[in-house]
Amino acid sequence: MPLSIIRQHRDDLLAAMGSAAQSGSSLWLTKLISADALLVLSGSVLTSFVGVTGLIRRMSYDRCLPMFLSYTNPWRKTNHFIIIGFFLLTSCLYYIVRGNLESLASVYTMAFLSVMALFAVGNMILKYKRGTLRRAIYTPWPHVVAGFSLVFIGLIGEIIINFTYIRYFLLYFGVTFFIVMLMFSRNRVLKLLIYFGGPKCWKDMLSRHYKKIEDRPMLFFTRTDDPTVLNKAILYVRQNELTNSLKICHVYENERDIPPNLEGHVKFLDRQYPKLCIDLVSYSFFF
Amino acid sequence: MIYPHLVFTLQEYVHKEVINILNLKLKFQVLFLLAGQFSFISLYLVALTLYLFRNIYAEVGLALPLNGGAYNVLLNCTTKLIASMAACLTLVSYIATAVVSASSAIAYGQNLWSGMDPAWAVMALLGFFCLLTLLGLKESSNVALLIFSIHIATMSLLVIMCLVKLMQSYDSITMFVDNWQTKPTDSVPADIFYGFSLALLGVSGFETSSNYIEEQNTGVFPKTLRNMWYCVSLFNPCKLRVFFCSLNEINYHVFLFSICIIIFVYNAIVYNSSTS
Repeated sequence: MPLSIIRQHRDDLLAAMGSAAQSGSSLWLTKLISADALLVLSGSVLTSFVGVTGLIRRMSYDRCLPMFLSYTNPWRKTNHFIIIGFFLLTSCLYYIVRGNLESLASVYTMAFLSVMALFAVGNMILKYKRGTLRRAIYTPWPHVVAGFSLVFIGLIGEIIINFTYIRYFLLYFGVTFFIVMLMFSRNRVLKLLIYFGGPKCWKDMLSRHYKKIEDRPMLFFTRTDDPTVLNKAILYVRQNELTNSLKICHVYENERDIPPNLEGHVKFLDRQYPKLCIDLVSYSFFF
Repeated sequence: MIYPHLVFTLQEYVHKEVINILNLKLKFQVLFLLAGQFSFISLYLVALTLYLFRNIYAEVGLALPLNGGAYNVLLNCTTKLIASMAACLTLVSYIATAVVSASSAIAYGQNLWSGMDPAWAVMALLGFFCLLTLLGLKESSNVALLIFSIHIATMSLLVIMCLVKLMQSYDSITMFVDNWQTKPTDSVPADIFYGFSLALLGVSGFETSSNYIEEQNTGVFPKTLRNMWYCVSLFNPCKLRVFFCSLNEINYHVFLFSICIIIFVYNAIVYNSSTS
């Protein structure tokens, strides 16, 4: 097949190949290939629906995205808000970029290469900070660095080749990240709204919401009564979570296995952080 | 009998193949102009990258066996802000995949029924899968296997038809020579560099496995990565010739078909010996 024809059929190349391979006038091979491609690509649409539901649910549980997204309907136990939201989003996006799909394809490539690069970074940090975690495979440092640099070089190359599309990438990423940032600073936004005031019922509703966000406790499961470990957990919660309540949980089999100083240390730490209410919860559980 | 690690490889394979179909257009346009005859070096570089990443993924997957990929590892090691950056990137890539796949699917679908309005058809396709997921359809390994088998069967049929056509005339061979000779070349390192960047597109799907760790049995995750690596490093250099003559895509698919069967059999043996 000459290159000029290949260029004409950029969207359905395989089908064009099918028609070129046929000697007769019937088009059954083209149809068959089209049907097959339709099927494979539909599979990919399904993958992204399932994948996105899993990721958003996880983020919603971690409070990176609003809680309501993880609600399930009693009928089929699916996360209807995520699924319908994703449908609306993709449909709108299709409507907006119609005819300019290459921009989206390169947005995809940039996103996936950045995710891979971040994964390599994550691996490095994992080695450095959590070296004691058990693992059967240990990647040597030079390998991680080499992998990261190769992907990074690839990312740069992709950006150079498709420089015009980087603004789309930044736009999509920016919008998504803005929503997450809004979620992280929702307390400050609410405070600001309350400050600017408005009708009384509106202000009351905002305050109720504000209280609700802060009252949701975090759980920390501990095995030791080591105050440095407990303090690290508290510092993490103070820096990363919007809450004023932390429950430190200890699960024990026998009552005499409870670390002796746990209660005292928790009480002491509670007094150190007046803005954070720290409670100790112990459960007995037979493994 | 379902072999879990085999199934996940299939899912990734289907995903990867989709991206290949999507990116063919891009590759034909640009790789031909940029990568020249040195693109095989780029493709081996890609295989090397994936070899490195295979271990990177496996280490993280074994240390923190939780769903979420990059988001998961960064959440456990850094602040929530950095982790959510990775999550946003993953979200963007999911959104882009959905839109691009749906519209490419409809572009193919128009060969079946030309009277269809593409805009409404894309929305209908997205809506259909929205409904299916709402009803609780999960990614089923059987569906993945079915799609995979149909795809392989169709591609083998295409190969046979093309071979028949090839035997009927010598045009294709002269065309191959023409295509080979028309390629322009730039400086060698630049060729390799651009070729590498473009060839990386063909390996996406590698990262999806880490989003499913919880659904895979213990010890399966490294195996999936290994199988993926075999696929990519064996097939991609073969695809090199695709850029000069689409005829050679045929060779690639024949090759892929035989290799997949070998991997199937191998996996079945490994799985059976590890369980019994």
